[in-house]
Amino acid sequence: MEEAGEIALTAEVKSRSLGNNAVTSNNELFRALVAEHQDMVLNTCYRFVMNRQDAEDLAQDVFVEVHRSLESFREESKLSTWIYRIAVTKSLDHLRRMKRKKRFSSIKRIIGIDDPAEDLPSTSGDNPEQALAGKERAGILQDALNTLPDNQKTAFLLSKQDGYTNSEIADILQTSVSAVESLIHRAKKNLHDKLSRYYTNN
Amino acid sequence: MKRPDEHIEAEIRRTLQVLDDLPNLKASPLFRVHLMQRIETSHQSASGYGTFRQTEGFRMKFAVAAILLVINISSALLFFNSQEPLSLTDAGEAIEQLSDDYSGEELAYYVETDDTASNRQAGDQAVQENVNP
Repeated sequence: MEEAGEIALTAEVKSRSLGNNAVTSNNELFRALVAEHQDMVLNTCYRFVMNRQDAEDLAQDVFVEVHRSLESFREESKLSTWIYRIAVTKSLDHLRRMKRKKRFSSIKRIIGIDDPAEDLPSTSGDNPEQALAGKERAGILQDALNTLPDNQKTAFLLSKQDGYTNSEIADILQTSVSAVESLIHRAKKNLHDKLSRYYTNN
Repeated sequence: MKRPDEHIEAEIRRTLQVLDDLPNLKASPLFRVHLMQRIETSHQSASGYGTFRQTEGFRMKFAVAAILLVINISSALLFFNSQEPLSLTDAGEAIEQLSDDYSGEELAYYVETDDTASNRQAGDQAVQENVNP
């Protein structure tokens, strides 16, 4: 029933987006689409970046992209799967950007053009839950996660989020359920090994 | 002996627990408002840029066409001006000047007279006789 409603919504949004006269109705339909998926997109991004502010910015980027590319959506998968795939791609891009930034700031620190503003703590202070869980531990976990291949990282992080079944993860990653199970298993093993190495050395 | 391993395992468990403990976020009420504002802004700037590009493109085409027209007219004018017939008096003056230029003493060594030619031949023969006595 929910799926049928989603298909109807997609078809309507797509058909209306072709005409400029129905901009207002189109916006209303898009608002409905956002309302339906915003929490799932926000939490998906949050699992990847572990920072509320960044997750909200990414979620906004996701819906801007959805709005822009809705006409090119070919209905080969469910609309929700397509939206969550965009969320995953945007989150992975963000992590790659952060990794590059981190590398660049290390180089800057080595050659002595350190920007003190970069050492300021991130805005995770507005997230008391993460502060309670331990900022340091979260950092260690994120470093370990960032060493995993993208598909392992994605499968593992999505499996940790409520609302994603292995079948849905398989659709998002465009692979089979057994491949997803294998990716999650390998991700867990790799993470365990990396964390074990980290705690042995420290 | 097992203690360090147990300690490490406990640390790993606690670290991985961070992910399970991440809360489920709720989008703020302003999320959609900000999003729609962003989309409208990007839409306006995109359409504005499109109009700018269209008018700018037309202006560019017009400017290029005008430049090409000016170049064509000026080259045609130059061509027709250079096609004016050379008057006979001018031609005679030109030939006279040319002959004056090339018959001066400075350029005399270019003119091979009969004497110089026969002298050179005699010299060549003398050289050959010396080589083959």
